Amino acid sequence: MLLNSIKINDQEFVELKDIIYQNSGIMFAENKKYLLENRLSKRLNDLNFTSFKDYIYYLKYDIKKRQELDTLINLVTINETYFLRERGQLDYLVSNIVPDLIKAGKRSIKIWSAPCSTGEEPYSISILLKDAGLFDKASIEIIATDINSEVVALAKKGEYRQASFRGVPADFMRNFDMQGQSYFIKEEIKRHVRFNTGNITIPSITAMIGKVDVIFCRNVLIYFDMDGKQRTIKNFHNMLTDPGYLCLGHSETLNKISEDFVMKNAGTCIIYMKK
Amino acid sequence: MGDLKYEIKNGILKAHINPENDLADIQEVLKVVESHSEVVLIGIDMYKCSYIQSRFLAGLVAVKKLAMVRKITIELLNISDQIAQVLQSTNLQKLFVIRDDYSSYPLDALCEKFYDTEKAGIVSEYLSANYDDDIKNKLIEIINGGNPILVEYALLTMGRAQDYDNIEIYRKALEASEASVKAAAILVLGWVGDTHSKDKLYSYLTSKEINVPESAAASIALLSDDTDSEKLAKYLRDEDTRIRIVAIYALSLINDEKAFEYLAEALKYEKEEQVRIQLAKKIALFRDKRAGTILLELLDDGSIPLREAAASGLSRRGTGEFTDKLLEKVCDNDNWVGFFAAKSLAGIEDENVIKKLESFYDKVEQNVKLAIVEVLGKCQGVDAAFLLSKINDENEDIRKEALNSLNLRHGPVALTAAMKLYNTDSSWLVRYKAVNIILEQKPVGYDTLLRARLKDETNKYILEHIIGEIGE
Repeated sequence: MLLNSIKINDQEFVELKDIIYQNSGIMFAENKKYLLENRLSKRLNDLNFTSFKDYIYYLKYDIKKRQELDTLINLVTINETYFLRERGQLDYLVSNIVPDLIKAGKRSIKIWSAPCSTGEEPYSISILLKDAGLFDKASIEIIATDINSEVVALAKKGEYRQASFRGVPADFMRNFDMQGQSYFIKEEIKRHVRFNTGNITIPSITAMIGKVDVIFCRNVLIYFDMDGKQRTIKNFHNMLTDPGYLCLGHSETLNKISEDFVMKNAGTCIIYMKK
Repeated sequence: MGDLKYEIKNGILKAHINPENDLADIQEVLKVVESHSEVVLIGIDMYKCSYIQSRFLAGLVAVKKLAMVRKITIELLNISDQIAQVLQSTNLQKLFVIRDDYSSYPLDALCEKFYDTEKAGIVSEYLSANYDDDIKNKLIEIINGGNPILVEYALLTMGRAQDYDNIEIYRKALEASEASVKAAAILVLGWVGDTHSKDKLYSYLTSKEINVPESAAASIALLSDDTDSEKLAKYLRDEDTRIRIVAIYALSLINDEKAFEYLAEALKYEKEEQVRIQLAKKIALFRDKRAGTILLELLDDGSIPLREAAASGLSRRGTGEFTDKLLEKVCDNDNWVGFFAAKSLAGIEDENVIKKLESFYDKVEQNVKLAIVEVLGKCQGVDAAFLLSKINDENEDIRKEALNSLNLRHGPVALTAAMKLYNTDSSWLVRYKAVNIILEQKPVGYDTLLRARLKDETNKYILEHIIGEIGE
């Protein structure tokens, strides 16, 4: 339902961020209070709590505290994403990139979504490719990778809540089966996506995934330092075929990171092509 | 060295930092503060910076030191995640108040934030609070652009700003193919009081689309008259669980006598546990005295989640209702029923009830113990002795909670205990609470007391807290 968020006070924030840090290694900065309030208020309400202090005691003293800790960590550490996010690149993939590769004689195409978080991006790609009838024209594999094995497990399960469906058209929902408050991705979409766990910043990822035609790596580089960015982009360059396409988030750039790609204006979005 | 831009308005110095600014520029801020005695707040706006140089950081610390001498608050505005990480890794985060200041952003950049799941709502609220023709025209442009992510928040912003002039835009958005846009339009029509759309909103109550029925319920409640409770009550017997829950939600928002009676009646025939839980939660929101009686009866239900929901509902209703029965439930075999039952006794003044509550302490689980200690801090006439005995408990949360309750009822006793525990307690949670009490009461020499232990303090949260308040 449409809830007002429950406010967290300073002591509660410090205690909760310590619990999160001890159990996930992720430290929330002072300016992220709103994030905890936004993401956890519904959970508190479901558990009948009106304050974060009560919730902290639940995490410490309930018989199911281990299970709740997992729920907490998932709620606060998983990057919130949604289906058809930054749709321009997805449409360009389906209307231009893949058809062009097929025209050029490619019979086997690999698209890599990394990191894939809870799977909204690779499944969006799968749905759009299916709607465009492209799975019938070539062997297309979507590989989806994330460093967090729990996130990958969630993606494989393919169960989603309403927050994953920001701005999707009504007919998009036919790709899901609704059960209670959850939406399950249909098997016909799922079977085109292969999930695995891996770190995109280390060189061994190239051997693990192999050559790919298109890489989606969106809204992630901003979290890396310059060295991490450069290593990641170098990996991508090694992995891409020729021609090879790289899609970054709309606020991300390769400026000062790599000169191995050329920027292409694709109408409503930017795509990077391997030089 | 870059060109430092700043302005002083109403005692607030706002310095706009760009990536070219270096140590010399931040020293310029120092000079400005020194020469303007009227400055009471410094805002360092870093909206244009994605990173920070270590020398610049040193300069910021110097500004902070001057600010502390002058008792000026210093705020870092609009810092990027990278800068936040640097501040965190250097333990400097607590030195500054860190917040977003959306007045620094151009309108286009603000509307881009609608893409950000976490910030879209806050930005929408900011825009609605500062609503003018420029914002209105930009939002209409966004709506005409048709990007559903942006359209959703453009509509919500116009609705929050109570823009009555564009009702046709909201009505038209009801026809959108995206559920998120439709749900936003439905909400906005409720906010702007468009009673002409009410009948149409009923058709959305049974929609399968995400958030659409819930939004329709909220708006129907806002637009309701005497006839709507009856109309909504029919949905309480719908075969679809989701629709029954939506109807419960709508009736709880209408919150009149008829709505209450329909919900109370539904509890008699409803069989499904999750719907019964929602009924209990929503009935608790009615001021009607009969609500308390219903919740009390549910405390003996066979379903534990339902009993917990009822106990939680009673705890939110405040004091004065059914003290004896609730007291009895403090020792319930489900410890969360006990927890909420104890919390529902907050504010009691009856000495016998307080004594009884104290006597239960040794018989209950840790979470109920915590609720008892917390509640005693909210009861007039509580003796300090019981709470004082708990500051030596082996459970750190009990010690912390006892300190807090003592502070609420017996300030001087709490201060003495806090000064002792700050120096001796093995738990950082307790020491952190002790620091809070010392900072709140500010006894003579409190800063010396806090500073004296800094060299031995190993907990980073406490270090940051103290340094943030009194400096190193």
